[in-house]
Amino acid sequence: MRTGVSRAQISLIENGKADPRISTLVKILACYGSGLADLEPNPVEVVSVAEVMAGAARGAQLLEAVGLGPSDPQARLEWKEQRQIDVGIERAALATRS
Amino acid sequence: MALDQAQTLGEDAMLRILWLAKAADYGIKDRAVLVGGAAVNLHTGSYRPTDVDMCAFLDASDRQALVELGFTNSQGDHFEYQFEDGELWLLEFPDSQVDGDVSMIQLSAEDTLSVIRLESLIVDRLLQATDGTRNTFEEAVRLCVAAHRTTDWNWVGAEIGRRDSLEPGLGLSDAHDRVLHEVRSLVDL
Repeated sequence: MRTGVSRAQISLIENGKADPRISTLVKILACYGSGLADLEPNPVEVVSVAEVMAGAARGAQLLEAVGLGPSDPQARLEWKEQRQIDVGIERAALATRS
Repeated sequence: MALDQAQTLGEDAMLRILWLAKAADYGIKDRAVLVGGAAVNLHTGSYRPTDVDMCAFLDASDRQALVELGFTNSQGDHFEYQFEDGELWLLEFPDSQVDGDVSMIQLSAEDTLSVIRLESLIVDRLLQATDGTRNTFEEAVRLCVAAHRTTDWNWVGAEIGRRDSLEPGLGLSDAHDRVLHEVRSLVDL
């Protein structure tokens, strides 16, 4: 399908490196049989960092209450190794943290 | 400056990760989205991430900007940052775009950080659990249990159905059923 917009320009838009003009957006949408009126705003939830911290604490309490302890990073590294992923630097980084 | 904030937060790994991620986000002009284990930790509070994963398309100027901020570009889209207290953190950009919806964390009056929305993160962990291993199954269960009270389960179910119809051979519905069966044995859904 032809949009009349160059591939390079579409790639820049897709990757967040450029904001399209309204006229460019109209051309792209037309390819999908849509128009500007079809775009629905997608409200993004904004939470404070305090709410995030409280949510994490609640989550940890819930896990503890059902007998699920903290996750094991070593088990995760072993899982990655089984997939032939080099985790040497991750092990080294983990060792620097208490 | 976000990295200065992160330097002072050695006692609080979660805040340190958030400010480290924000510092990288600044470097690439607010296009990054926090995903992976660091995002899981925001809901479970007890996941110890081995690295910090973010989604963004990086070009040479972005990589250079991150290096100028103090990150070491170890290879490709992998970076390292060594704090003054000796902690080494790894920052990776595994994908150029986030697979799902985004929410935002207000870190300070001026600073926000994009993060994968909880429900999209659950779908991501269920996708990982399609590999059938104990590790990915347990990680998915842990996230679902920790966040079961705040998750929009109708949205998750609908999204699983949508993706399953696109890729029925993947076993996503099966992973969803197995994980939720275990979750229901632990908490009321």
